[in-house]
Amino acid sequence: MSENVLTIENATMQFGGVVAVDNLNLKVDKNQIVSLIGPNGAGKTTAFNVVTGVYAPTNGAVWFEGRKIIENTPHGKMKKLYKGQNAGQYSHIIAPTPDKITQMGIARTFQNIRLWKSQTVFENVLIAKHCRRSANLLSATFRLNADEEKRQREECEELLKVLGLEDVRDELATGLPYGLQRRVEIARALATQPKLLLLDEPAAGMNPQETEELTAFIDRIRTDFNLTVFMIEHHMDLVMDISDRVYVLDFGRLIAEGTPAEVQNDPRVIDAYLGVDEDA
Amino acid sequence: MAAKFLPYLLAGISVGGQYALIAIGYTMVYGILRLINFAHGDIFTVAGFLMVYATASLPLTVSIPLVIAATVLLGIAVEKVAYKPLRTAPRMSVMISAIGMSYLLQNLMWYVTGGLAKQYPALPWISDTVTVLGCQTKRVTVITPFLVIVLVAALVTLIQKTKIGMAMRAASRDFETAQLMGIKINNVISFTFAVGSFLAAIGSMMYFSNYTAVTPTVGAMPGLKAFVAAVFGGIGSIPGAVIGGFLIGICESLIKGAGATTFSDAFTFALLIVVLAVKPTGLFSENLTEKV
Amino acid sequence: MTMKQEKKRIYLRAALGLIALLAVLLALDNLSFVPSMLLTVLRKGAIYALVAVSMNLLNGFTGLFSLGQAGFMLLGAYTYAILTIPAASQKSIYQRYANGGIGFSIPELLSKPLGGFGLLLGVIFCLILAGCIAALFAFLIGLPVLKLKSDYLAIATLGFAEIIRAAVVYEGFGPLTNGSNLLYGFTSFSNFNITLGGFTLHLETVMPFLFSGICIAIILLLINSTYGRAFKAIRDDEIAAEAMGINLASHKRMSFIISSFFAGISGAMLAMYQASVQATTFKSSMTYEILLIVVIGGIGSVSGSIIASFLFIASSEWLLRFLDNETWIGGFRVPLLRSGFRMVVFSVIIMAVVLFFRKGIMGDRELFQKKPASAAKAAKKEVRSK
Repeated sequence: MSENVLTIENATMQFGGVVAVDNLNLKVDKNQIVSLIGPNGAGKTTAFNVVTGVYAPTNGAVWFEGRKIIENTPHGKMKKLYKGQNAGQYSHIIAPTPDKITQMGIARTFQNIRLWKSQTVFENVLIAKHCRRSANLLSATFRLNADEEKRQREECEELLKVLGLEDVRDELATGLPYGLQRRVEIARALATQPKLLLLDEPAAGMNPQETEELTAFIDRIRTDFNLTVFMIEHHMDLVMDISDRVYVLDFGRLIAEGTPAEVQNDPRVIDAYLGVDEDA
Repeated sequence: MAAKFLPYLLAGISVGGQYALIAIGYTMVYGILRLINFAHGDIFTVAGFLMVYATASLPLTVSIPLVIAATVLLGIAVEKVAYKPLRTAPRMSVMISAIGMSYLLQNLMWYVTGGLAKQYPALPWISDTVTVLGCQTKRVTVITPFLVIVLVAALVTLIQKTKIGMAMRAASRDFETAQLMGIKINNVISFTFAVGSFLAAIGSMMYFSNYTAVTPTVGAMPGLKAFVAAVFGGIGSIPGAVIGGFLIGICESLIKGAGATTFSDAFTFALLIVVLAVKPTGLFSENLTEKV
Repeated sequence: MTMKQEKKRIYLRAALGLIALLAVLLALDNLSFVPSMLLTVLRKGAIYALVAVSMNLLNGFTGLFSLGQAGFMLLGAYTYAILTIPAASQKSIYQRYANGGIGFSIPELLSKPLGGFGLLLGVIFCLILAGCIAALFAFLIGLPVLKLKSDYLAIATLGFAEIIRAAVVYEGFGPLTNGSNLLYGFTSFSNFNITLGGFTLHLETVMPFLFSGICIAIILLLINSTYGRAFKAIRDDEIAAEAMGINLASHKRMSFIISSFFAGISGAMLAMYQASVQATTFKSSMTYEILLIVVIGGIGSVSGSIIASFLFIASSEWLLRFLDNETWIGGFRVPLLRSGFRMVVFSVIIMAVVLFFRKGIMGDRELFQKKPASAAKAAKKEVRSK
């Protein structure tokens, strides 16, 4: 039996009158690659932002490795009203900031690449190691953490080698070709030592050949780093090739889920998505 | 008790009106360029000095329009020199340029005037003393709030009803799209600076009729306070700036009345920090968040 | 192991360079023909270098646009002055306040049993305390303010500096701060002398260099540590930094507190240099000056800030002085030259730098950087042309 890594439970994200994600339920099991697809504006990135703590959901919960890491219930706002009676039940809002989520072991990439522009590839990866430090401000300033620093640098060198980035090690990350930048973003996410990797449109802007390479690449890092991958993607070839499970979102609502084959043949999906705009 | 505070209240309304006039300049520029025009307070001071020099040799009927025109030109010139070349630069650079411009104007004024305080001319009628509800004050104190309301009404009409006003609204909503839609953005910006400087010139006439010593750095404090007023009301919002200006002017004046003059400046900034902590974008504006 | 040897050699060279520098300064301090203006520039420049670097840490390396530097300098200056005014002269200095002064002076207390060493120890202790007070206030101010975005942060910190300035002259604090009056008579740089036999060595220029040098070295160490890298990540992209596990609130607070700590120390040193303190010195225009130094030197370059500080002080105190004096060449009066012209020229130069040389002297590079960022940029161009 595969164990569960991520569960999204009744998550709703509302901005004013707009419901970007509507009562989403979703499960990701260990070492699986799970894809979230749907037309533009379906709420996919919003769902990612909820999982990574960028937004606190207006309702619902997120579980990671059997632990409830994010929660909000409408009753949470009535905390004061319920004080004394049922306090535990209604006053529980868990909304950690994104950095806490990353430290728990969830790392992400961004749809519009967000590398640190004045830093080289190596520095980009090394900075991501910062969250795994044990040194405090003083010991780091006065170089009492030399061992840790050395170890982290070596780990980063290793990571660059494994991902085939050692040739561009000392170049400014934002000066690289698009495909390499995406790869650096993945390297950076891996440097935080995640158990779950969230990829937001990793193949955006890639040609078919690059996409094919990426497919193999994602599959490889899943095994190499013992990862679980949860991704948003528009390239259907990629999604259908490597996904163990696919969830389809439309107007914030889940309209279908299942194996790639099941989803491909689901009439609702064809209506909402595949049938309308095949290579979006 | 009421009699004791009445003069302070009157003074507060008056100085608040002056802050409001300066604050509009800040808020309009910020609305379009997302820039704190640090030089705005100095433009206000320059207007004061220009008046001093103009009235020395010219009659008031000539010097008042002349000073207003010169201040407007200065405002436009500052934008052309210090901000226009940095249109695509990071926001921090533009802000630094604004601080540099303020520094330049202050030093220039110091050089021209020799650093000595100048006596602001007494403007007839508005500098006369009148008695309101049993307390003596200058007529300007009474006039300012009404003048502010008239000017703001005119400005709001301008922004709502005219073509250039529509262009200004479009530019402050979305700078790039407005540009793409064929709005001549540089004209809009120049016009914004012109309006802001015009109001600053009027504000300076009111202000210096009350506090008659003009020095090169005298505008820095009212400038900062007016900016606080603009932030307080929610930057980009003209009614917000006006309400903020009056509120700060009145509170500050009442604090002086209560005998805590040292803290009247501190109060303004404390208020700013409280407002920003509670509602980071001011009282009358919408929240903007960056898209991830 | 050649790396290690090379490193050793670099350290050795740096140490030798420092000793040579200190020796030159010592000579300048004690030779009578040295122009006093040069000493002024060196002393004040060293102090400004520290505060400029501390501001650069915040504005240039962490990307927090804060304008509170003068306020934190003021806190440092007052803390230092209050703690070091000799007990005997407190009565006359605080003459407006019956129970003015703290009744003791830390360097005095320590120099009684320990002599000259005790004086030095006391001063160092008070400098650190000055930094700590500034840091404490930074912590408190940072709680509401650091959540704000760029320009709001700037205006709020500027506001706080003004509040601090208003509070210091408040009559209620008079017995401690002497209200709006001067504080003077405290231990200053001129108190540092070494007497050998009948010969006295002055250390008036050596001391500010030594203190500033140590502080700047610590800031450099911090910038190149894992925390410094995290600061740069926050500057480059806050959202990405947070997503990579960097806690924004705590790192911003750290940077703010450290920057203020060193601003406090530099304020205390400015007090030592001026030999007197008054709140009106620490206006927002002082913050602007420091900011402009940082810009001229290059935002994100420590060595740039240091160079710019000396240049700034040299030209404002010395090199451009002639612009302020009416000058006659034969019977011809050189136009424009009169009091105040120096500052006009000066601000025009600054505007020119801000507008046309936006990178400043150093850009974001350092003076002795092995691999300048431009090499990486060149590499980037190559990749593009492929």
